[in-house]
Amino acid sequence: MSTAPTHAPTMTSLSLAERLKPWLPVALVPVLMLLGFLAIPSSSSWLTLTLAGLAMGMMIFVIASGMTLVFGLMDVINFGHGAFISFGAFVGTSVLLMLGSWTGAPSLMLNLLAIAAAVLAAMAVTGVLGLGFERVIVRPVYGSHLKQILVTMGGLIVAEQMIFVLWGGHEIVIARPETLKGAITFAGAALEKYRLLAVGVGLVVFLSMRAVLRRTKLGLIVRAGVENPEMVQALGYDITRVFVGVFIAGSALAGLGGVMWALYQEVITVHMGNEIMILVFIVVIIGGLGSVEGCFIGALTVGLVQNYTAFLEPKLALVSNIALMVAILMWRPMGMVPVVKAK
Amino acid sequence: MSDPILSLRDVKTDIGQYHILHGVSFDVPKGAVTMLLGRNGAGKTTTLRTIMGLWRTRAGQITLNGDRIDALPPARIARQGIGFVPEDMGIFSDLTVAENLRLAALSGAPDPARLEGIFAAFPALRTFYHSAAGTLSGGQKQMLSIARAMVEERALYLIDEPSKGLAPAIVATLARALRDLKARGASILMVEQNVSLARALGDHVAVMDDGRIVWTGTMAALAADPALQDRLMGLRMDHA
Amino acid sequence: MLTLISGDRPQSRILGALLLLVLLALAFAPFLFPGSRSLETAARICIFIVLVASYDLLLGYGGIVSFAHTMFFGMGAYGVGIALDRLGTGWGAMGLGALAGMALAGAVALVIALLSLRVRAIFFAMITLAIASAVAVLVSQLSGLTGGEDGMNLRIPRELTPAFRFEVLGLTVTGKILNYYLVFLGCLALFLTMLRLVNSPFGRVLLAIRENAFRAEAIGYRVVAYRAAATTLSAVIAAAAGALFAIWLRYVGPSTVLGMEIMMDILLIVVIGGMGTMYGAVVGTAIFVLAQNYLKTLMGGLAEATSGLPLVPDLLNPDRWLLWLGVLFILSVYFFPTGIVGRLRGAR
Repeated sequence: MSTAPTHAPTMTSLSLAERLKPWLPVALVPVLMLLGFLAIPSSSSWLTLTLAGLAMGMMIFVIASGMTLVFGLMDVINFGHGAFISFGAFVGTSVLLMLGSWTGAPSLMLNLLAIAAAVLAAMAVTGVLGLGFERVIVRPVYGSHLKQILVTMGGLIVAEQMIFVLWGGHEIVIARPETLKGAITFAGAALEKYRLLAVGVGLVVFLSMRAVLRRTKLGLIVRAGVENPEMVQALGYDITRVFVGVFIAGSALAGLGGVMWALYQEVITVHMGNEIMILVFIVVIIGGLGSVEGCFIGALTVGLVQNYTAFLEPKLALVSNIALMVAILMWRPMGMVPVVKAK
Repeated sequence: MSDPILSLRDVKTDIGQYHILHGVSFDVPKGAVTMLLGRNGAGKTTTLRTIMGLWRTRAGQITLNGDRIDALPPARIARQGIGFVPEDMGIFSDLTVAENLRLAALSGAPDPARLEGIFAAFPALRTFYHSAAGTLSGGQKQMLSIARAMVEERALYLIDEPSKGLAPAIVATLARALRDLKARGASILMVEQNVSLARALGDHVAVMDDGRIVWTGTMAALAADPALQDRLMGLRMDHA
Repeated sequence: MLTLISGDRPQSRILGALLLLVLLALAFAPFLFPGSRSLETAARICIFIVLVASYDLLLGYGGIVSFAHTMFFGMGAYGVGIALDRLGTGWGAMGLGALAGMALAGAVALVIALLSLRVRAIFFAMITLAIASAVAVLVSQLSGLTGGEDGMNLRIPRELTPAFRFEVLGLTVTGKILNYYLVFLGCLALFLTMLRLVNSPFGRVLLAIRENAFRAEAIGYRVVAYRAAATTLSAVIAAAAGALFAIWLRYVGPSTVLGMEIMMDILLIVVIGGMGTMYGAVVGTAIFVLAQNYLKTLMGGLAEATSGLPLVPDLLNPDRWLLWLGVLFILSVYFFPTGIVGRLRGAR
């Protein structure tokens, strides 16, 4: 800070470095790509890995965005979020298996229709599940993090066990639809078609979420509510209803992420949600709890780091993300995009 | 005097395990400015927050235009026509000035005419209309907070210490705007420690101490009676 | 007696009787319940009492949720395992391994605590979950050091194995029984140490912080320091329990010490037994281990009886006992947040 501003808006008195500071995290993703490019000997493998990392990051973002908003808005931490991922994957996979003639046909149109049907079913089921979760599990424990963690963990166990009851415990193999199998070659690198689709879907989700948050009244209420829910109420908006809506949307997005992940791995298990949640927690923490932008940057970072290290030193893949989290927390203890909170 | 716009009857509020309000009763007359005075910790802010529904009453009644509002959630109370300017201003610093004002407009966007009125009172808000509210100075934030309450026509304004921590020049701007608001016939209940501002704006006074109302009357009566001022608040108005 | 339990009376006649019953049953288990199966159960109960109590130190007294408790438990177990593997069988190697495991657990816990508790207490829950999962993966991958998924069989000193026999007062005592008493006395000592801790000024400050961290900070207690200390102590004790477990089983592997299921068991027992009571760990563990067997049998019976109905038998399948435990868990957090011990004390 150069001068102590009195009446003048602080913006005009900021140096260039000060003005760039909030944007530093945004630079993290390209910087990371550059580092990857330098570390990975062949540029075609680098391209393949970068796409894989971005695809993974996008899926994690889709899953994590709802969770981070739910936290920002109501200070509610949902450890059961992983259940929505698994449920989404199982519902979506069931639909895809039922629509075998569509997914098996060599028609992009039919394939995409099948995926759309699976996604819609998964999002509908996980959305309803989210509503139930909010009403039954979360509503009675507002304001107590300790109880929230315990109760949502309990909810996670019950939900996982219900998957066992409904689908049995075995893993289910699900092939990608016909036209999404294989890869296209670009600049000598094999780019999997499905990963391109995943990146596209992730981008669409991110951009539409941003548009809603920036341009609509509802988005204003949500953004304002993250900072000061009390004042939003005092302006005449029922924040609880908005919150339930966000919770449902977040659960449905986790369901979407579950379907995307299922087709990415081509196999689903009951515990997949839990395994993904490890990455989700890392993303939410390093992004800054409550921040959608931070969540996006964090997710891409984690996806890239995971894929680069898996190539360079396979055993360090998961550990590298822990190291990333520790490093970022030492740099910015509240995460990359700290969320302003009143009080 | 016509019917009061707001009245509190024996309102008791607890915060956690502490009893803060021990039975507050007073009326806020329509179309006038009522000053809620008292020393720090007397319960003034708690009273405003209780009216707004941000703290729940344990007992007692609050009526706005004769309708009970004490059991309503804050959002409903706001929609009954109460504009609230909290002690900490409650600015959404991540949102721009424009977005802060838009949020205050319950019907989509602020009425252009009212917006012009707000800009006339607080020109700085026009200048920084598209800046993030977090980058404003303290005085500008207070202006925004008051402007936000003025975006809609309100039956009653609750304003908590608008002059707190502000430079005299800015206090003068705020005072002018509040006087205009008053001149347009608004009903205002205001907490204020700045004696000259309180005296300049206030028509009626309610004095609190230890969670109760200890005196009500007109500002003129209070201002004319130094002994009373001494007894109620330990200060004299003509010195300020 | 009162000094031994640090003046922490059970405050309920039924609870006192239950505690005494558990103590006596465990103290004389080798003679009361002959057979290696019941001795296994008794040893497991001893170790889980300590493991759960050390978690209670964190959750019940510190108000901190951790998902890395099994990781610390595992550090103690693997400490013993790796020391015996590398340094050869011997009491020295065993002791050294246990101490190294405890030291590592303490150090890691301290680092995590300082990193996360400084910011927000809930970070701790998320960070421990991430780290514990990563460590579990790492342990499976580093098979050269840890034996990977298969784990490692340990060669402990002969005096602690069934092959060692001697006679006392006409009774034949095997090394297995000596091993049991090592576990029993070790666990008893650890438990009494924790009882001492929570009834010391340190424990009282922890409780004050749990009730209102903000106020405790305002009074002048360094909240982060106290919470970090609780985290570290809890991790060290969990590691000690892990070391005893490894010695008892003569085996360490990911599934016996690191599994997420074990973490869930710990959580369930603490909540059902009673958070912030220490004795909840004793009663909770005893009931939980017994119920685990009983409940499964009951469910099996019910599933068979309802085999004609749709879905119901699937819900009652003994493999789904976690489902009902999860429901029970949620209900107890809502309706009996003080657990069995709290109930018994309330009803006194």
